[in-house]
Amino acid sequence: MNSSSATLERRRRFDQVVSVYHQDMYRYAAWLSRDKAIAEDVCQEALLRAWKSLDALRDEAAAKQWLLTIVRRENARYFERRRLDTVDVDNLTPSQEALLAHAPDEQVDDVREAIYGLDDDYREPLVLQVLMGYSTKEIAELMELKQGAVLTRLHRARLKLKDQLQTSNSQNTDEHV
Amino acid sequence: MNTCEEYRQAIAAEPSFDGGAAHLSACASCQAFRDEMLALDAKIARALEIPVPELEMPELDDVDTSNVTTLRQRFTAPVWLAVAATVAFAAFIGVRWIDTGPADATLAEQIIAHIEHEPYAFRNTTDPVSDQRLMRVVPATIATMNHDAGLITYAQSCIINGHAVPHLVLQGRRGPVTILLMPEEMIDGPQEFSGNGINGLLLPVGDGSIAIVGEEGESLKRIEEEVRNSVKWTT
Repeated sequence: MNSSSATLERRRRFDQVVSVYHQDMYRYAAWLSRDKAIAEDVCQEALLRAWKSLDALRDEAAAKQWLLTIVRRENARYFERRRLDTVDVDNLTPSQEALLAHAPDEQVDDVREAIYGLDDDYREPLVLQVLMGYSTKEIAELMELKQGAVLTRLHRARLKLKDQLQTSNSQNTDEHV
Repeated sequence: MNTCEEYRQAIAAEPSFDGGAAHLSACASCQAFRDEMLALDAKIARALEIPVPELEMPELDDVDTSNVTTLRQRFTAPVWLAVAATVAFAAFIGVRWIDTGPADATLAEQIIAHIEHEPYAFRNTTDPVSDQRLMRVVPATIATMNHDAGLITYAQSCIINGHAVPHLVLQGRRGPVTILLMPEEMIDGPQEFSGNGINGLLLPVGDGSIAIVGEEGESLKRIEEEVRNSVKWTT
């Protein structure tokens, strides 16, 4: 394979992998950062890094894990650089609020807001398990945790969400009475 | 897993957990808790699916490709499996398409090419994949699926025509039957194809399609009905 066709083949391969997993990359970045604008920046940086290191991806079956790992690192770099304050759910910027843009289903809004309010430690494994279809072992590898710690976080995350949703349901009921 | 607390911890950590059947069958309270967690997960999955802006590719610098290595095979299978796969794929070579337009032929070609790269899927086995595995490969964000379609012995998320596609294998009456769930591949109508030793169906389902490929003589109509009844798109 000459240099030009190797470059074309490399670009074709990159485009294919990215087209399949771009949505996952963006949603993961958005739920990590809780900010649409930051998620877009993180995705752009992640794409650049992925392009440079594409040859390290030897097994196509590992593409999703590989890309999400890059997104995770880029997100960490972003927050290291900016040293942003913790998000205050009651005082969001427009870009943060955009992530909570109203869904047609009111119930989805409530769940989205409850997930948004979870601590990073609980929100991230939940996103990886429910949205990305990761096993607890894969989450443990990505987050560099023991599997038992992942199970504990997932367990707590769901119980927190359950309590939060019950509270907001009863508040809604009170408001309507 | 003997106590309600242990069971509930496991379920809240992973609602698709399929252990503890003995406890579950004897504890109505834990059954209700499990149903509640599964319902919560369906809500979480919908909530996490935020709209995604159109992909904007950054400007990519030229990269030195002189040392680029090629993609290796996805599975390192034993020799006999490779031989079996070759024989199975040879069966596809003579495929003749009936009532198939060029666009669908392209999709079919990609399906065939894909199957060539998954020799491990051709195993004859009675070992089912776990519920967890099935839920990972067919996440709630793509479709809901239960085991009613038959004994599912292989589940892998694959890429076909640029989309992530759940690739499942059921054990039919005459051997392995490949099922590909393609929520993003719309086709005009049902298509049948047959070839040297195989039968295939491409079925429109909602805004997507499902491919079913089995050995000649396999009752795909029976499998079609079961697959249709057990799969619901959520996209």
